[in-house]
Amino acid sequence: MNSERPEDATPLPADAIQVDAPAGFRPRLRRDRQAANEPTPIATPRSTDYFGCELHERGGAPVGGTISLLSGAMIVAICLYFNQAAVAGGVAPPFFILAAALLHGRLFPVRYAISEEGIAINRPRRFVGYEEIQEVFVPDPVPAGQFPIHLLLAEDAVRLSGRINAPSASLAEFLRTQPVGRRATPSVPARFDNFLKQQLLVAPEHVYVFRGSKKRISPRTRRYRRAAWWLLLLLVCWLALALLFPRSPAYGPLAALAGIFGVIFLLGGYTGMRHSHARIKNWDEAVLIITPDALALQQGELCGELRWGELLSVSSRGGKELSSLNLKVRGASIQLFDIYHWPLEVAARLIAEFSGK
Amino acid sequence: MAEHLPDDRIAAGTGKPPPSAFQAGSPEPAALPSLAGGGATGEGLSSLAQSAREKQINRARTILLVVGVLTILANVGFMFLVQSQIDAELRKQGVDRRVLLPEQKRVIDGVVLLSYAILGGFAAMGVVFLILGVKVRQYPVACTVTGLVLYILGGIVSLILSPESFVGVGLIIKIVIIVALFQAVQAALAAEREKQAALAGIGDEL
Repeated sequence: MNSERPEDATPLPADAIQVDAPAGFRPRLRRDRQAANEPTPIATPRSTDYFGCELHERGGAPVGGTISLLSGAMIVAICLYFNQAAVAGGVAPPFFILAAALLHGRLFPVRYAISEEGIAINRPRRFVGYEEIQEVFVPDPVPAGQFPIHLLLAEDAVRLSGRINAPSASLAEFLRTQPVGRRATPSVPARFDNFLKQQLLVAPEHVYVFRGSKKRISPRTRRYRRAAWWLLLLLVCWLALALLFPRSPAYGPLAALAGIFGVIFLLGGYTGMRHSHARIKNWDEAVLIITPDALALQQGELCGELRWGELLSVSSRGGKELSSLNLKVRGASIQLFDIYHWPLEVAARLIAEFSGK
Repeated sequence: MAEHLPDDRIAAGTGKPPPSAFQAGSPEPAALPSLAGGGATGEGLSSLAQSAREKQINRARTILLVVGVLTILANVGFMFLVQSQIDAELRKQGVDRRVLLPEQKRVIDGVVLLSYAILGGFAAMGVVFLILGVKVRQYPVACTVTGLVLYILGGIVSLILSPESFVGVGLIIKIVIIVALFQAVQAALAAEREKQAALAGIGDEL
């Protein structure tokens, strides 16, 4: 655990120091208490540690952005020295755009203003009231250092980045003491009724129902959208150069190329095409139920239940923000795609926790 | 094995005392207490693993049908082209087919016959692929294994007769088909094993 106080998490109140946990401290979470059959404390005092704080995402060292910026500047300088302004106009803009894209997050970080009512996020702009939060989902066991926190809501989820300028464990504990709502069990297709009923009888707190959602915009989709707009900016740059220097033949085709890629990314970010790789029919009707005993799924042609004993191994694709999860069973594999209203990372954590694989 | 099958769990509740609650961290998932008739989980749901295997077998079915149709079309098409190709080759060598010696005629007729036999053989193999594709749901193991073996044998014969078809995209497509058929064989074998285990479980119960 990172016990360092965020020095730039302004303004942290003085008593916030008290929530700072020593190294090796592992907060006892609700799932732990349930597992140990301990009674849940009746009333946990509400923490006020982060009220009035504005947290933001810390970027890493701006190596890529700086290199791109310097490369662009160097190209311009060399081209101008050799009197090749047209070459500079063709080669330098991608470097500057790349630098802007890489440094943008650092210059304009995502900010989380925490108040007594909830969390206001600046990008994308939204306010999440505590009562809207169905569960503060953190990895269990809590890993050392920083980790993302997922706030599970009724229709989607909000991901508080692991790069936030506050210790993730203390922030998670703070959020857990807030008057958050309860995770309601949504209605499921009739064929899941018996399964759900029986699982709710045994471990209601551990039954998670994921529903296919076209509305949810995953971080991956957001990246597609950002890339699309940067490419369109590049298109505008080259179009402007083409208009300013009509005798230079390269700017037009370069602008067209940037435009083509921009449109591809726009389609990938703003239309259902982003899920086309999954090739799932009616994926808005997909259902994934994860419980301590089994998993039930309806995703395209795949439908049925899987007990953890049948699961051989789990692998994932997509790095930190998973794009798919591959469940290997004897003689086949089941691929879960990031099409649900809660992120696939949550499903992956639950599967790992419940199946032990 | 039988208790891992959701369908069997409906009937499998008599042997084990039901645990009171979920035990976190236990290596084997605890059997759930029964609601009605000893069932453990959803009665309306079948096995997801079996569904995934069926999907794999369905994919094999599509592959077998597509490979069958393409094989038939390609080889029947080539049958119509054999004569013209031989004529073109003779013309290239400056030989007029009308003034051939009887011995040369016999050789050419032999070549034509051999070509028809090879192409006919491959076309027949295409028909077998079609039959396997149609029957794969009924006899998954037999059909997928036969399909894979036939496809590999056919590939070896093609490699000997026309190695150029194994260059570039052709080779990649063949590898993809072999991998898919191999996965289908695995799925079929696993499905068969599960079926046997389920039957054994029902036999024990009775």
